Amino acid sequence: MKKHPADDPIRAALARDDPAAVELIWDRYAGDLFAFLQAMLRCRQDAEDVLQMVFVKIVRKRRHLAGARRLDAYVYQIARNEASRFARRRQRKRAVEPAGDSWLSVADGGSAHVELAEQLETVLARLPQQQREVVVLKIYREKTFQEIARLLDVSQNTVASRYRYAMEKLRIWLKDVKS
Amino acid sequence: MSHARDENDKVERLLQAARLSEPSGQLKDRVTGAAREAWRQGAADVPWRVPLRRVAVSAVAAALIVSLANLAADVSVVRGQTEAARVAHREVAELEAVPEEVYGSVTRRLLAANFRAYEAAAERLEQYRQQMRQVLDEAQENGVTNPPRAPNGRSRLLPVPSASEAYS
Repeated sequence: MKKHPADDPIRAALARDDPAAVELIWDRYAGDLFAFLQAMLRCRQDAEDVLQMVFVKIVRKRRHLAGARRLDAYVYQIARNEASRFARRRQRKRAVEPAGDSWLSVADGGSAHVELAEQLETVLARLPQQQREVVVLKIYREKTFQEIARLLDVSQNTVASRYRYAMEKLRIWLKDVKS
Repeated sequence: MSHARDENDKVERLLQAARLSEPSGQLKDRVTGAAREAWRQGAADVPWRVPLRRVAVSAVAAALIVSLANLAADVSVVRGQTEAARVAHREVAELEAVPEEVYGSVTRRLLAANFRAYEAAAERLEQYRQQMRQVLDEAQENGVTNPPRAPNGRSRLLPVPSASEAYS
């Protein structure tokens, strides 16, 4: 795969060793990375902590990043590694899964909508992590299969099949839920 | 097929009713602040140094392993040679006294059997030598031209050519 042109200003700033690269990386990646981390960790608070770790790691590895063939895949790989490490630590500390604040919200804040958000969180949490990542990036970040494949460094067919399996499960689990 | 697609659309619409929260401005300040602080502290190694360092460490480790293996081989060979030399001069009966840690029971039995085979061969050779001596003595007593008859009509001595054949 080719280099993404949107990464060119970041590459240039990294090549100059210019701290302004931090802002550029934030503007380009923070939203998607935050969604990705929330999908992995299922907790907004933890996702915020890990996002900070990811940015620190990116800065520390900026010379590697400047020479990386695909900057976006490299950034996501860092995020995945940091989130996995964090999840392992969290699992050792807490016996149960995260019980923090909700990571999904519904626009109209009525009680029925809050309940719907909770139900969606529950069913998404039941999905395997890889399928959940694809669903979150596709539904909530409106990425195409091609873009997701590029970010996760897997084939487009793999992304499509993960999405299909996830949809099959969600169809069953959400059968009785009405929007 | 279309039914499944409709079902998928329904699930997607249901999921789209919710949304993921975007990173807040406060989070941006916190994260970029930490990142800038990390920037000031410096970067990790440049990429080309990492594989170079790995190669150097691997080479040192390989050299260490090879030298240790050589040393171990030398030590075991020297120990084996001295033991072998000592054992070679012992009688068969003494093999029982060979330390257990040097030769196992199977090796010891094999060695004993080997020595017994050599001993038996030496005894047979000595018997043959005595037999031959006896035959030669008898031949000398009876005169060279009249050797004793061999069993089964076959001589146990090499055929002696006659005088006429020898000078022809």
